[in-house]
Amino acid sequence: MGTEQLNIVRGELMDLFDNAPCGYHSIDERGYFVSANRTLLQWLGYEKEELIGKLRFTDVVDEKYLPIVENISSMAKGHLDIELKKKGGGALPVMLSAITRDESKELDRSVLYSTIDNSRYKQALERIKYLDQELEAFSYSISHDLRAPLRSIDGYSKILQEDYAGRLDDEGRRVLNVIMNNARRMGKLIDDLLEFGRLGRKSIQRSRLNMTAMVNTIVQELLLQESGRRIDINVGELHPALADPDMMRQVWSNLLENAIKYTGKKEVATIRVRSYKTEEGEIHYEVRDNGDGFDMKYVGKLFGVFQRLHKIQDFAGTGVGLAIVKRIISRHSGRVWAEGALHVGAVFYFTIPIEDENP
Amino acid sequence: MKIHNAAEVLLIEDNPDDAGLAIHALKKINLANSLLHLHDGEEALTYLFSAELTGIPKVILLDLKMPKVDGIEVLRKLKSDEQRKIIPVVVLTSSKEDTDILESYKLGVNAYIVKPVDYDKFVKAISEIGMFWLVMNQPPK
Repeated sequence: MGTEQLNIVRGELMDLFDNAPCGYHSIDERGYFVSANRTLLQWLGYEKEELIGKLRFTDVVDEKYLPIVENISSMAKGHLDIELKKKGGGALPVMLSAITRDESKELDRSVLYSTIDNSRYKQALERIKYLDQELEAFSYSISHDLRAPLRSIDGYSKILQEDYAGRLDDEGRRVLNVIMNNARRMGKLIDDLLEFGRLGRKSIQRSRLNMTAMVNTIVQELLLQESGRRIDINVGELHPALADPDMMRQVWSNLLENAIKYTGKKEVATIRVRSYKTEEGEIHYEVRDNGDGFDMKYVGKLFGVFQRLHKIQDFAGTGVGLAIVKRIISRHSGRVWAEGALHVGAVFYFTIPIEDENP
Repeated sequence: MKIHNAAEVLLIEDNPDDAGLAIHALKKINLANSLLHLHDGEEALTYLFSAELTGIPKVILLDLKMPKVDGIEVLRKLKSDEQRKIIPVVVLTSSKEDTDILESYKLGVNAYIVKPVDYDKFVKAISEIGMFWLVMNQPPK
């Protein structure tokens, strides 16, 4: 390669070095700047002459990060979240990597660094924290400020009912009952909505679950409350899963409660719980009932918050149960769907991905 | 402190409707005969720290969320006062927040009750508080 070609290549490399979207610099053994690319100089607001040989890298690192930056030099490589000080004041959050190489010593370069501008990431993180706090405050306000008037509606209606019932006629007492029922319903809606909100923020604690035992326990509890009905529930051998126990209990409870609720008008309720492995290697769990079902036309609405496909006088509910199921399954990276036919029955399916390390 | 002219039950509650429900519940079990309703923390502190007050209530029912001076502040003032720290204070609030519960106990609250939305449960809670603090409990003299 001729000198001219070498110069061209050298020029290209220098261009790449100077204008890369990340900062590059190196320091000598005493810590002074040996080189710094244009990107880094622009970020920090220094001219090359002010930096090279005049300042140590540690001079532009925010004091609270000095201990970890001094440590990185002894490591082969690393990624550190630190802040650099701009010349005119102000902080630049960056991700710092360092490489120590023997051959770089011959060029009096003890450590080579690269830095990535982290400020937008940090801003986004701050924004998320802020929004999270807002949401927290909002939920707090819902739970307190909406509950107080509800207590009054329910309480004063009760006082009317208990102390003034004699002065009301049948219609008056009926109207009073409507008011009280609605107050209670709103209380339930608030509770469910808060629970739904909490689920989004709660962290998932996975453990290996015996789904068969879990479902059988829930079934026993639910059947205790339905002593007057003929309910035939059969729970097959279910595959174990790696999932959050509290959340999974909630999924099964909601699905089974629904199955029991929507079979309420059948002479004999038939409910089947199964799991099986598909050809693709996915494990499907399903809850099948012979209840009131639904029109497949509205299947898209089934898992939405406050969406109901039945009249409140036919089947009670707030319309949050399946939305909670969907949120939990999504947070486990699984899928949930349903099939149904009006007055014939419904099947609810969900999957929980199998973790590779736990086949 | 000599006991005369202080109410047996102090209800510190800013929401008049909630106060009405609590008073109604206490009346049902005949425990509202010597009850004083104070409408916020400021009014409560003025009453409790006034020179004329010569007795101590058997129990204070204290709401937390109130304008001007909140319940936590009232609790802090009471429990850091050598003479008044002996008054039993029951927090009666809508707040289930862990921070409120913890803070109240750190300040020395005697009980912490979350107001139920359901009126029947509310009446039951108030009656039990009333029976316990006014009838069963031996107050300081």
